[in-house]
Amino acid sequence: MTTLVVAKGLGKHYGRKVAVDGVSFQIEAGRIVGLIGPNGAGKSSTLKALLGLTRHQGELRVLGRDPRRDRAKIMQEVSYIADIASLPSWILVADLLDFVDATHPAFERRKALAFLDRTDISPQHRVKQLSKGMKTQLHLALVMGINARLLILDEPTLGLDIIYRKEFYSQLLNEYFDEERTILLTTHQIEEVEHILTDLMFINAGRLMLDMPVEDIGSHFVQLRVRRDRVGDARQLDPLYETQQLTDSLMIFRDADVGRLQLLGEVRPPKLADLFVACVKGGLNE
Amino acid sequence: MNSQIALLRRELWEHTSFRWLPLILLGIVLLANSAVAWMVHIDGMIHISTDHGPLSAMDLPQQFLELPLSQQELIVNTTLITTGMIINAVLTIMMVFYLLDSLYGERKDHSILFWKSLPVSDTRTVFTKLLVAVLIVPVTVFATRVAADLIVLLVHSISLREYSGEASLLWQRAHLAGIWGMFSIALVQQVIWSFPVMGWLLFCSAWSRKAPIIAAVLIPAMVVLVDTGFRLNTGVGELLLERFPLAVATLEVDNEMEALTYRSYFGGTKFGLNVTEGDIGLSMGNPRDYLSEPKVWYGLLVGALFIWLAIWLRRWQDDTL
Repeated sequence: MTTLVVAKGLGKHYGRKVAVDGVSFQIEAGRIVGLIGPNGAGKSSTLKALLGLTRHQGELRVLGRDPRRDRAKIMQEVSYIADIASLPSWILVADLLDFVDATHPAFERRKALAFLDRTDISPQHRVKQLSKGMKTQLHLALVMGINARLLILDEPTLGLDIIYRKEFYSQLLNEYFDEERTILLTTHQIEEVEHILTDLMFINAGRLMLDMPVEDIGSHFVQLRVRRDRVGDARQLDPLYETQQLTDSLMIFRDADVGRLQLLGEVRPPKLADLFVACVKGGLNE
Repeated sequence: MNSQIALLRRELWEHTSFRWLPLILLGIVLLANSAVAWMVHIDGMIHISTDHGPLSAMDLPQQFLELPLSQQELIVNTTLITTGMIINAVLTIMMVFYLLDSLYGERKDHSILFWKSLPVSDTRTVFTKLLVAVLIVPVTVFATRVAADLIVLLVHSISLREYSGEASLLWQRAHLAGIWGMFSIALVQQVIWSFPVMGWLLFCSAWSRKAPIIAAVLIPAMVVLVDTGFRLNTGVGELLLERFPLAVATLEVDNEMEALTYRSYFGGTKFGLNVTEGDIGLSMGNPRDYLSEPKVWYGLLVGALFIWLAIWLRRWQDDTL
């Protein structure tokens, strides 16, 4: 398996404020990795460091290169959609395609056009005439045309309505992704990406709390629904996090004895959103 | 499409003033000259008092035709040179605003995140913006002035033909090749002389967190003020003032010599078009003299330093101002 990204002790601070506090991780080819965290957790700073958009501490390799030195080379094989509409508002769609075609060696205009054909975007539109959803579609069309090994998405569906959001991820999965490609995306709306992720990274206050393939989650974490009268027994097994629901308590356990839990109540794999809350509130550290 | 050409075209797509400003200038030239021709045509609108009594607009063509040849040449060529200087000044101001916006605007509208997601290095990006200032702008200035010269001559030739049937007189008096030759050398000198200013503007554009023009103007103004106000006379203020008039040049008309000299401030070299006794000579000074001026080289060095700083700044910038 090819490793695309290696971070060791990656850190970023703005003045005294620490945004990323020495995180280490690897991203393998062919995965869809979700970097999940609340606002201000250090997601964007981590991505910007990967993209060579900002200075950082620690060791970082993207496609075997140092993004601080080789941004332009790395971007031949990495695509990026930012959390805010970053396409220049004054440009014509046709001109934008020409420009990317001329400056990006791995761009296939045909693929981008094929994608655009199915939208309401015309080559004669100016970017500023497009709605937020259409701008994202246009950016996605460019990305579809670029034969990149790694696609980095920073909150790509922020501010979009539910139709565009659903469509975005389904197109990403069905039309873009294959074994050769790797996607790293950040979001704080985990429910939306739950079904497409292969790997999870939870980040909070600049620290990585969890870094695990989604398929392993079930064997490490369980959710227990326990009746009020047995809560005391369950708490002795050291839950990561606990919430109250009407007559029951919901508890999330890590690497617990499932056999014992089953005696106390109903055991099932946790939803990622619940697991995320548990990790953040329970202060889990990787 | 070649990627360097694409990068340059992208600059012109964004900065539409490169397209409409020259056209507006040509429109003004056409309108102003047509207005003069029209007044001559309808007469009576302008009455100029001269030593020889009142002069009616209608008499102007006749007056002109009666002048000695060298005076006719002086009038025609002065008009053309002045028009060209105004065009140069206006388009140079446009260039100043272009440079100030070039690395600031992309941070302000967040598009830097998109530009930086393409495999184009920061050095190449800054170099492209510099290339607009050192190549695209002077070529635009030159083309606009050539078109303006043709408009001026055409309008007044049509007008003059009505009175004398002399359709080609003005074309004979105008020394277009000389003027254009001198002007292109002046433009090259102008680019070399203002190179440190271009570097400074790019640096301010890359560095400012708001309105780059404030830093770009205020900092040198303060230096000049302190230097001259407190009579420190370090010479720094003088050095800055010398570079400040980016496109301003004086036009000296020496009546006795019947000579017209275009004098540029650039490096203090005097060069120009001498219209003497009906004979037009192009005196450009010696380009070698200009290039042997240490000031010229210091300027290029300072400009290169600022450009290097601008590249360095852009390398570490995202969309945060």
